[in-house]
Amino acid sequence: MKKTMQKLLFAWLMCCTALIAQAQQRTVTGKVADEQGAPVANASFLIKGTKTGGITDANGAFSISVDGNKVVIEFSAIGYETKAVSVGTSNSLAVVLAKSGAKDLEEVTVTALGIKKDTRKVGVSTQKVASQDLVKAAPPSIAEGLAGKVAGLNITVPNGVEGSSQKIQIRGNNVLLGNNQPLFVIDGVQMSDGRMGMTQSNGTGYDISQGTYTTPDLGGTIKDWGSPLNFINSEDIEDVNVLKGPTAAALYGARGANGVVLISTKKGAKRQGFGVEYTLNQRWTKAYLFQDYQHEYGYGGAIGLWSADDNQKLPKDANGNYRYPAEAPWSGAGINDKFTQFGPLPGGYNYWDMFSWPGAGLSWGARMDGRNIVWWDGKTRPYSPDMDANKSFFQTGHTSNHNLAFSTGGDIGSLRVAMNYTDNDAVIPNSGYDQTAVNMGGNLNISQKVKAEVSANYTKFNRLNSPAIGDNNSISKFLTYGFPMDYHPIEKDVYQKADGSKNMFDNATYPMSYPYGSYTNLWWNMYNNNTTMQRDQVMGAVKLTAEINPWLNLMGRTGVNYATNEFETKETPVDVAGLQGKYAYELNKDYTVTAEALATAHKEKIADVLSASFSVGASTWYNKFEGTSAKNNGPFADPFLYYLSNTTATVDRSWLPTYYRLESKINSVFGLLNLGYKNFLFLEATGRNDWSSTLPNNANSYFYPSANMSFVFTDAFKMNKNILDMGRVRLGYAGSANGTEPYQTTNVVGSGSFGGVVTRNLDPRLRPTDLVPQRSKSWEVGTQLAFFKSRLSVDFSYYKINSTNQILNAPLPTSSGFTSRTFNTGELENKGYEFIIRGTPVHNKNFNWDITLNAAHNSNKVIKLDEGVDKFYLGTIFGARTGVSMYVTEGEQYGSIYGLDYTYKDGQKVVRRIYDKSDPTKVVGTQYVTTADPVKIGNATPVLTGGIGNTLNYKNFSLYMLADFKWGGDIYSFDYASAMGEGKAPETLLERNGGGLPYTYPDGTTANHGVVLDGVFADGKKNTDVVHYMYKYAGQYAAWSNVDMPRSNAVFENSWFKCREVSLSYNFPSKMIQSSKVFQGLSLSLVGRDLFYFYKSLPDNLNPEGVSGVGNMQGMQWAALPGTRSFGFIVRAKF
Amino acid sequence: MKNIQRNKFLRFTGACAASIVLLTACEKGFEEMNAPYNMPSSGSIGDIFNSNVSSLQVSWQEQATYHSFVYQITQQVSQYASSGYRMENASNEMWDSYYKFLANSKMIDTLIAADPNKNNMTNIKAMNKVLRAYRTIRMTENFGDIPYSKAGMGQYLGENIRPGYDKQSDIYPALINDLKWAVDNFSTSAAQVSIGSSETLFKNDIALWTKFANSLRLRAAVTMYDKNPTFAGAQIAEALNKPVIDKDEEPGLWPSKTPGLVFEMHAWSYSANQYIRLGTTMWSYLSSTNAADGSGIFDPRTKIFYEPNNAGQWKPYPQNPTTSTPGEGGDPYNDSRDNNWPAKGAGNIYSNCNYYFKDKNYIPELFITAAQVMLYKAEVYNRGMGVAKNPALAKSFYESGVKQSATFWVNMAMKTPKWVVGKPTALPTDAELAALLANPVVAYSATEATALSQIYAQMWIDGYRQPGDVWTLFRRTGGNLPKDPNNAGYWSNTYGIYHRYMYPTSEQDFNSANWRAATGGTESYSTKIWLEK
Repeated sequence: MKKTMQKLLFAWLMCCTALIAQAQQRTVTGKVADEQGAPVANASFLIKGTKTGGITDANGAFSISVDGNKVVIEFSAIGYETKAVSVGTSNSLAVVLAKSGAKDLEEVTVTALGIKKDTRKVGVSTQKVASQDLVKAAPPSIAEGLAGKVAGLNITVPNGVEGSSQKIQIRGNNVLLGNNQPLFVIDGVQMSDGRMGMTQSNGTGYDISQGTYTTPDLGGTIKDWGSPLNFINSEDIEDVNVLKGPTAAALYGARGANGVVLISTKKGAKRQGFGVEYTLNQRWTKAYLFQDYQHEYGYGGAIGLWSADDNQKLPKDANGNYRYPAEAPWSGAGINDKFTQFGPLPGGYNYWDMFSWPGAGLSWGARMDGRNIVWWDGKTRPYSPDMDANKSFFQTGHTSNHNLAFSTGGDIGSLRVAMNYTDNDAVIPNSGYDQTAVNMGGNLNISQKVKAEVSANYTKFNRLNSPAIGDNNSISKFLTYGFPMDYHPIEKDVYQKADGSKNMFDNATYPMSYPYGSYTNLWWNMYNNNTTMQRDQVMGAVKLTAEINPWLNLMGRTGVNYATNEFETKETPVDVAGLQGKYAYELNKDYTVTAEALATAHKEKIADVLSASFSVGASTWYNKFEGTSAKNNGPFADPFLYYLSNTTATVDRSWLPTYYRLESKINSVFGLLNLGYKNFLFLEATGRNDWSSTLPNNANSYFYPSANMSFVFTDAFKMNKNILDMGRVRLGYAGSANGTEPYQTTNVVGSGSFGGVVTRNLDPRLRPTDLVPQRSKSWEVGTQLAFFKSRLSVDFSYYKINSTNQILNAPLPTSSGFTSRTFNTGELENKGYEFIIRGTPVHNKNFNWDITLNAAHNSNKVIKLDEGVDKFYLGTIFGARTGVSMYVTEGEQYGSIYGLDYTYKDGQKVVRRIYDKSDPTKVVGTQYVTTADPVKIGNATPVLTGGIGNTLNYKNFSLYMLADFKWGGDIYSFDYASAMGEGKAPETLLERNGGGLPYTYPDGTTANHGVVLDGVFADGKKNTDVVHYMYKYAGQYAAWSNVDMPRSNAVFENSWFKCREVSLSYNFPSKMIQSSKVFQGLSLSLVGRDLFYFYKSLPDNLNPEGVSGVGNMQGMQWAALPGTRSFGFIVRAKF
Repeated sequence: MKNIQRNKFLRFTGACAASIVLLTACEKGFEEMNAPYNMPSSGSIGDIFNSNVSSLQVSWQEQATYHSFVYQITQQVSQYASSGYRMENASNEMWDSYYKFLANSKMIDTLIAADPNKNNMTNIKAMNKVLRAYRTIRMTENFGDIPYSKAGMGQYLGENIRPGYDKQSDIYPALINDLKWAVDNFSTSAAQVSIGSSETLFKNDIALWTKFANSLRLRAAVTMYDKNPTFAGAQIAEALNKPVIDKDEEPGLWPSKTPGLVFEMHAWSYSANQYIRLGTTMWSYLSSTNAADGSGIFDPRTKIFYEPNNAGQWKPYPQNPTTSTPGEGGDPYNDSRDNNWPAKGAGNIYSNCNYYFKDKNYIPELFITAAQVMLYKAEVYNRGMGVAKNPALAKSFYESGVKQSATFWVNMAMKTPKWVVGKPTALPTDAELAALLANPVVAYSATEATALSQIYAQMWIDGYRQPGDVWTLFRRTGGNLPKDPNNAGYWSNTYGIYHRYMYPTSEQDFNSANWRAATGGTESYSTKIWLEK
């Protein structure tokens, strides 16, 4: 492979070098300004009839090599009329652009392979985000900078932890199982899928060691180290072009099936002054969106059912003082079992028989009335809530970013070198990262005909601890599932003993017993079990273009992306001697190389009305990801030293390092034909053939075509342009095809050992030998309309994508002897629309208001599954039956949520009685009868997603605000269910505070604590049994549950409308700047991110964006962290 | 000039074309690149056989279910609080483990059939049949009807990926026939092909294999006797004339005989359900009085299976507790007891199961015990199953069985390295065993029916570590095992409802048509299996 690459590159270099000698060139320089003389930065210029051009620098300056005197250069910029200028013999041009009166349509569109085209010629849907829009509010990552800005580009950042992965999706899910994220291409380098290592767990269900996706259960741990996009510095980005769907991405083949995000880095230009830019941004982040809880009743489970008397709800110690209760009868707390959370219930039941196993957060206990009680640590405190206890787990996060860039340009080309340093302290203690990046980009005019574009980037990324989410070592699970309402943050001061060893929170230390038994490691783990990640990433790309003659040009490009990830985990010994520690080490490397070659023949005028171009090309993509991981489980031989062989343990096979590898390659040839008729009708047709290493030999070659058309009807029909300036329609069709993960096409056997002798067994996953590529067919129609001299424009697209021959790892009944089979099956259909409306409601000399609305809807339906496969699970939380899951069935919408539900008789919920075990006539409670099996209880697909951006410019001030929204789509909230089931939700106060029906407790006390579960018994008779309120809450809601409980009661529509980005900027006046003789430009911005929700439909202040993981199951919320927001400032100075 | 440029263009396009050719030629290396790097593509018969031996361990969730359900159904042990576990957990795991085993087992048959030396591979074939029968017996006794004849063959695709269910009434005789085939065909001929060290279970001891197969046949035939006395009787009669396992031959998985074998799940099962205690039902068969000092204990197995409470007293937890039963709150299965034996917790007011059964490194998983076989023989002669009734022989086998069981378990404690506190120093003496047999509870009754109950009761005690076998015994005898008569309704409502495991949900999800055909669309753990009386 390597040799092939070298040969290919060498061939191109030879060709281009040979042509350099032929060049007859001169350089034209100049400046683009508006009618007031102010420089126009980022104006595009293009030699008419060619693809040679560039973008002006911040001072409006440009430089371009031209051949001959009959050259016409077209200048265009957003908000200005396009202007064509004949160069003649001049080597210097002063270009004045007239304002169009409003934001114009983008004139130049970047399409597949980075080919720039007049927008009017493009028959597919793309959208561009320019540098200044991306970084306006200092986003933590490129993905977050894109949120809300592109119609149909949905970006989810689970839990909002900086540095984590994002779920990025264009036009829905094309595959049932696996990666639905778009392809990212940076300066022509196709990035890998971004495996981080074995410790990466972000909810996709991908297993590196097996190279397969399996259905994830997100009830466990999520520990997310981020995705490759995080390691690209946003300040180095020139622009981002989103190619939506396979129609736009036809030329990227398999890997572009989910759409393509093309990222171009800055390449520099000549500037006035020193050509130095410095940007500083500082941002402070705080957790603010905490789930609402009640603050009146404290720790307690079973005791809630025994007495109305608050004096009977707290146990007493040997001295007769009230004391803190305990977790379980077996906790050794020395109190009556009833005072323990899991104690006995009236009627002879255990807590978990009726209400499932809860967490330590049960808050059905005594009223917090301020009386003194002896706390679990033996100290006496008033029994009162600590209103800030949940906030005590978080700190103010801080992100600091310095960016220094040098830029220059001239006849020979341009060059930009930038250095960047980012430092982050997360909102979670003992967690954060720093990143240092050096980026270089430039254009090199080798000759008049041969040009090179180069970029190189090195990033060093260090991260300390990725917060665990959802397990017993996570703050988020503790807050959701542990954390009673009387919690006081005592542990953070005592988790470590004075001698440095771990406080075990055992009964020897706390004879009253520690009440949150599952979380004895939480604080120690947070501070003393540290994992660091170090990533070194190098990216480089070279693109050579040659204008052989007026009708032929050539392009060759190669790029490499190489990264290593090193994870080191040091678990501090818990003992004084320093021996009971652990150590783990993992190192992997991810290598991707891409190469492309393209030859284009073009002719502008054929019989005066036709233009045509034809391109042929070839490309190759190769990725290898491999690594090893090993762990020393201790005990250590040398105290407090962290290395793999430091142990006295007798080691066996399980201690041997794990090695994993993923390797694949795709080779391709392709062709493009472009035809134009009279500058109003354009047709493009493409064809591509791929060879994928991941498919069987006889099916690894596959072809797919695409065609699209653009028709500018306003020009064709010579329509009056008083109102409608420009109108065009687009029509496109594309096929696409895809391979699969490596190593799936050979049958293998499992290997192990027993009794010291080798074992082999049939691999439970049946692998196919007859796989064919999975394919998709995509149709798209769209229109683009510009009104009132482009002060209003509308862009609308409708699409339909059918994905067939899905390569699925579908489950089998284990009675077949196998658990799954990989095969081609099924069909998915995505249909949807997107629109962008841009307008300039106000425009005058001093004040300008631009507004952009983009929105999209996608509907995703499963047309067909394999015969015999009834359902296909996308993911579960706490198991498929008594937990909640998402799966697909034929004819059903993707994204449906399933769980047990109420059963109904004559429209009434069915209830059953619970009788005293010793007295079968005595009713102690009632509970709802659930369905025998899970049923559909919701669907996560939103009705509409999008964003509204407003930019208001007044003199030197600029106010920018981006609000994004999600309308519709359900979520199942385990966090809500947990709070309801544990007595933490404010809703659970109603009856407890006397708002219920008269009820008599087993001890004879009475209170208005009773409730009647609304419904009928199986015989249709109305339920009138008054039972204790816990049967309404604890009996009906639970997060984890071993008891059948209805799940539809925690399904909510999750709609929200959020203030995502705000930026108020002041550009210092040019006179003031010039008088400084130091600065060439200076601006100051105050920024805010994720500030607040204008509207959210979830109850109890639940975090609408606290979804679990970035996999395909996007409708669950378990152990979400609170929402965060940040404020900061940006200084941009040019020297 | 033009010619020069044309030449350069031709050179360029030539290079371009060459590049494409190079690219497309790269397809050649794809196969190598995509070959799995860490999994072999085939295995020998021996390798696969050893894998099947390794899968004989009782799985984690099945162990937990013994503790949470089966022990209480059989009343071998009581518990003071339900564990919160669901039986489905075990169903999934048992199903998964068994059918992977079955697929491998059928693959061994396929490989033998294709082997040129297949005529000399009857021993391997027989060993394979015996293990398959052993595991299938366990599966069908737990679930009832299961996919069997068409199961484990998914690699042949077609309808094999969704196998139909076989009736237990068909499976059981088929297994007995397989066992008979094995007993009849095991050969000591030197021409027989050996799988050598891959036979990690009995180390190629063909005599032991034969005894195991025959003992298993005896067990199976006795178990199904009431459903088909003619077929089963003939098998019993034949089995009685063939060798069966004897003392010191207890087949099972022995960590001491298998390098690297560690029963992690044994320790875990006590964490999964730590609420189990000595129950009043078992206590009444081990002690002649309720004296808390243990003075009434007459069975040497008592102190092997159980411990006194934290005050050193023998106090069983009521098998059927009432609301007035004092609460229990000890932590007797905490690993810290290795270093601090008395620390069971202040709340440990009832006798618990012996902590040392958390042992991972010595105490075996037994397939069938010598005592069990002796007691089957006692039942056979007591009832006249396939042979004439013979009370004297029945009594003789009964007493041998009781003595063997008592000796075996005391011996186990003596040999278990982990066992420190209360470790017996000598095997029961003849006098002690005679006293045991003389106790009115144990002494073989002259009344046939009473004697039969006594035989079953001793199988019940001996099966302390084989609760699955005892549950089968319970069901096939119509519940003719010891029960606590006090508050019996508690047991009926809480545990008497269980008659089988329910199929794992994956059957309903992915084998729905066959599942529906087998269950009628609904199923219950209360449905009796065919074997049940």
